[in-house]
Amino acid sequence: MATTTGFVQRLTWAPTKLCTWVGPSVTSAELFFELFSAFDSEALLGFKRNIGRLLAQAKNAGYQVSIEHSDHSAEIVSASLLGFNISPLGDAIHNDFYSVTGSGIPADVRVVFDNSVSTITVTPDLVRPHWVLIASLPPSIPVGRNNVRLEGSGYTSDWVPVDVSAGPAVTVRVLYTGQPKDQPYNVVFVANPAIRTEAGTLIADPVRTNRPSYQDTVGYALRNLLTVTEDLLRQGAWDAQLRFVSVFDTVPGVTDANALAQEDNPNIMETRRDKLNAFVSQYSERADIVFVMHGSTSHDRASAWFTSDDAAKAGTAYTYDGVARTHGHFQATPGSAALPLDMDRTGLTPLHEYGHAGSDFDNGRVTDLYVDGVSGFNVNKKARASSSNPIPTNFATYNGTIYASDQNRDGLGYPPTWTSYHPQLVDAAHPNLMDNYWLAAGGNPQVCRLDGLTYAWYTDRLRAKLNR
Amino acid sequence: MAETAGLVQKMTVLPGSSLACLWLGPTPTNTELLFVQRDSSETNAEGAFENSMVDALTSAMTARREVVAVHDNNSARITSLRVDP
Repeated sequence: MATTTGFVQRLTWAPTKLCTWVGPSVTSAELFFELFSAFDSEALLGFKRNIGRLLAQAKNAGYQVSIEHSDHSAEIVSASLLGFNISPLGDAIHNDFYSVTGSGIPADVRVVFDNSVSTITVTPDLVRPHWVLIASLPPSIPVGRNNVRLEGSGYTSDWVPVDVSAGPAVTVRVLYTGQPKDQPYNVVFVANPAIRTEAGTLIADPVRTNRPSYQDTVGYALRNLLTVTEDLLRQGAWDAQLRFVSVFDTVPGVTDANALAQEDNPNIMETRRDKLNAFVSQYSERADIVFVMHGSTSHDRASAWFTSDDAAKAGTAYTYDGVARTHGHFQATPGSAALPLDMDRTGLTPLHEYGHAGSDFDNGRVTDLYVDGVSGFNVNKKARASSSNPIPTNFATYNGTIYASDQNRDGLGYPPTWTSYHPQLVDAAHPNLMDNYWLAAGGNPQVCRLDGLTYAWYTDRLRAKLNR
Repeated sequence: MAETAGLVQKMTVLPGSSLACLWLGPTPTNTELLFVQRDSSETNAEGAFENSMVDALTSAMTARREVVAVHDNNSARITSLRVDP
């Protein structure tokens, strides 16, 4: 067998033969054919028709094909539609998200659009080795056929033909499809349709009239989740397995079912976690985590609710202080956080709230360390009987490993009336991600990390869910 | 049943084997191999349905549209296909 690879330069259908010329140019292409015979079975004819469609699609889209044929015949045995070493995701639409995936993408990468009249270079809002995200595709890119590629230090990708349109932006935008398996760990961003006020009334959420800010904030949230010093979600390139989806839908009305956020006195917004599965399932999504993005400026303090794992489904066992517990593989209610569009972007709000949301109501809550008191089973906080009692040397035993206590609360110090105390930090020079990270030495909260116990516990929890 | 979602990164159609193979995943280097196949025992209607899925997969690849392939938990043979909004 021989294989010829190239662009489809020409196609002809003449009874009862399909001919195609494949090569780098019209004048240097090889002719291949496919016969539709009266002796062919229905199945054979069906797949021959598929090849005709494949060749036509390849020609129209500017994709290469690979034709397999015998050494002494031009009759097509098989045809492959070939991709590129990067993969744009979804339609290229002005002012909408735009993702390009690949591998080994450098941090300084740029997205270059080339067309018949200009070359436009775009700095992405998120760069990971497997993915770049543009939060809003610039309208300066001409409508119509463009070639797009990634360029960075020591890195240049293939050119990929894409058709750019002026709009409209799509409702459901898959930002990254996630591991090709059943039910990858799924993080969904939703533009909240309605808010339930402190008074109990329902009002339209202003986020839905501010799509540019929504998209920009989603881009920020992704940078915060995946690129700050704390590597919880990107360790071992795990974020290449996560699925990320955005839902911005202006159709759902101001109803109780669509009110995904609730005002709390004096300025907190919380998610209405029991509404989330039903809401995102309308868009064929099953989320592990839902970030409810809202536009309130009066209740713009972020908050989160823990996941409720589905105890009826599989899990991974662990022990904490000798007690048998489970990292549930699936959710009964997703973890969630309400994030305002106007959040301070110098901090760690999205990742901090994820720290709560990704943990579990019953089998381990990751809680705020800047307040005293312990409710339920906390992974990262315990309480002494009296604030005058010494902080124990050892905090807890997780899966047979002993983790020490943080005697000094990373230098912030425990207030004298507090009974609660924390596990020892990964980086003792900075506050815990779940503590008051605004007090970080040097004034940069984004260097703050978790404590060692919570990091180990979360790593196992995420591994259990990723491998489900 | 399992659902595998992703971009079609490569497609191969082999008429002599009544088979189409596709590589599905988020990036060109992170894919799962799935396939559409016609059995000789299938009716023409069932076969035409499967060929229709192959055409849809080809279109999805050049449109860079995510597809959701439905298959048995222990099989890579696609039995249903979705292209969500």
